[in-house]
Amino acid sequence: MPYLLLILLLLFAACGETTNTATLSPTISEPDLTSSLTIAVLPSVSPTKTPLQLTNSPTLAPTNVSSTPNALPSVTSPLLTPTATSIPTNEPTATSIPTNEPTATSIPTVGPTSTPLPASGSTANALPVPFQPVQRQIAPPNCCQAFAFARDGRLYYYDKSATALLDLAGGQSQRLTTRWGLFSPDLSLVAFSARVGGPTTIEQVNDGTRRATLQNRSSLTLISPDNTRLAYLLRSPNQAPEAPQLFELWTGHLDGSNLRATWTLREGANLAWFPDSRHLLLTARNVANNRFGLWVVDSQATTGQSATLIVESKGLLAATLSSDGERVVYAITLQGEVNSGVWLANADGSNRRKFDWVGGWHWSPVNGTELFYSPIRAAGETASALWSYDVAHQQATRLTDPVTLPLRLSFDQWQIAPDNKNMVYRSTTDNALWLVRFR
Amino acid sequence: MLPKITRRRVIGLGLVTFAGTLLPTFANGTALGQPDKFGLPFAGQPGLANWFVRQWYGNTRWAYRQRRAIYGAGQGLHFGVDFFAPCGSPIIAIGDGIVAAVDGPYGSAPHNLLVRHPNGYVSLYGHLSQRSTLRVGQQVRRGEVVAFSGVPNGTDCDTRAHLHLEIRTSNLGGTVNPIPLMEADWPNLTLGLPDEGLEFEINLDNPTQWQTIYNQPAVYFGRALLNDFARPWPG
Repeated sequence: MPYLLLILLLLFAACGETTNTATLSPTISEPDLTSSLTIAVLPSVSPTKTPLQLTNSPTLAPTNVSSTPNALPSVTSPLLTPTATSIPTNEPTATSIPTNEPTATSIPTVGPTSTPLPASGSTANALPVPFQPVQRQIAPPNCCQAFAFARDGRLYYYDKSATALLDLAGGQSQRLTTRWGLFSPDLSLVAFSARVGGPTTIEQVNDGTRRATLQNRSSLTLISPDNTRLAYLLRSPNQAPEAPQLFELWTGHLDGSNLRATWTLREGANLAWFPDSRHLLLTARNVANNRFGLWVVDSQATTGQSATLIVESKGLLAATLSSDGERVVYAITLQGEVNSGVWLANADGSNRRKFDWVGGWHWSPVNGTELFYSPIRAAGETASALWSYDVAHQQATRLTDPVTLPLRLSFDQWQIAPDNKNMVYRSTTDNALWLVRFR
Repeated sequence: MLPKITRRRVIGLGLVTFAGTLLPTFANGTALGQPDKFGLPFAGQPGLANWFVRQWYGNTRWAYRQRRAIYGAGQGLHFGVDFFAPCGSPIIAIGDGIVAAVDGPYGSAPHNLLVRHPNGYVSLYGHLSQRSTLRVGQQVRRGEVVAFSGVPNGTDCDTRAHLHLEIRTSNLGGTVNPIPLMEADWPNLTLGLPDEGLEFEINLDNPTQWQTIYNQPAVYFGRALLNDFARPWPG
């Protein structure tokens, strides 16, 4: 009898395939590249035809329905929220604060609590239908290395032998320059090195005018948001390879004047400019006192005394600054269940809170209070979703449905567009670039 | 690339799982029903507190930077996968096999362990915190605890504790990419975090070369560097 049941179920599965073929794999391209940005192209899904609805069926229970600030009906799926993951979700207490972190007092866990997307088959009452996210492939497999968004919303990347630009609305790519390096946010300047261990050149993109030449052994050089200053971490030569690497933090004017070593440190990483084009964020170990953590450095200060330790932890790994420079999100690893995790804090290190999810994140390029993230779930879930966290209201919102619109994010290779409505990611399925419109 | 998961398989899987979990599930990753594949060297789920992947095999940015200093003998590539884990974390055998060496001359100080498998490959567990108590010739089973993780210099457990796992060829003269040979949910094992060990160095003259975790070259010890690019990114 069990075998009969199994056979019947498998036959039913085969029937389900014939009724719906467009919702699972991102390899399915939309034929109309332009209209796919605004028109939901996913076919309607009957709850009775596909067993995928089984995972959504609990969401139809009235007890799982919650409300968003817009009062639209939304559905929480306990099988799809990060809280269902088996990844440790210990809630930190006051005693869980890393011992060297003096200011954090209360760390409420902030986690996804609602979703704006009704599951397929749910009733929408008389309210407007919420936006249905869509995705489409915008570049072929293996294309487009190191893609990122310019301030004006165009996507730029390195392909073959040049830096290319892609206008998401028009879908056409064009060559920007034969250079590749770190660009200013407005794409007017590029910092590049022509040879290994050689100087770094600051050049105007439009006409190739050279603005500065830095003897910095090909160090990655960051141009400040206002295009007036430079910063880089200069690795000391001839170090023992397995030893914590020694660096100097150098800053100066865009034309290469006033360049100087601001600070000596070890294990420097995650260097980023604040929006004020004066302060810098980085993870490092202070050579003077061996303290490791997240630092803020005043690039215009005359001594290293300006370096302020805002978060101290031996396990600090990644850290990113919000677009307004007011907040930071960072990951702490291998420091016990309580301390390890993804944390949110003000840019002075105050008001620390630990998220109850683990995964990759990106701040909104234009909204300093919105954090996008893609939680890593329990093993066995083959799709992932995009979430948004509103820092001001401490509310999480799922933006895409992992059942109807699975995202195959290739590790941290995804970016949020400056319009705050689109994201581009590299797919683990085909290694191509995909555009998702989520608003 | 990942094995393609068809809708038929997913739907059927969902139904059967719903009916009573009668068939294999995705629990161990994207490779369905491939018993000859190796398993992961840690039990349980990954997490920021216990274990996660911090460096891929192959043309990583970290390896490029250390292509001569550390990885010169391995053609400049990172010829294993690094799993970060607290010192002392139990390591399990990735497959059935016979212990081939304990603290042999195979690098990955301070302690290493080699297990020879029936498929001809040899797994190497490196940077162990202590000498394994296993004996050469002893049989081990997949999932059996065989060692404990440590750190390369033996002391810096605060920041650098990890297991270096290699899959060596039968003659031990080279390594292959472990990713296609192991049954794992690789896209989730980095926990979404960025790191120079998780990104690949770009050869600007051939930018699509060795840019995915599945497409990385075999390493033959003692041969010329593979990643000594004239125009690398980052430099």
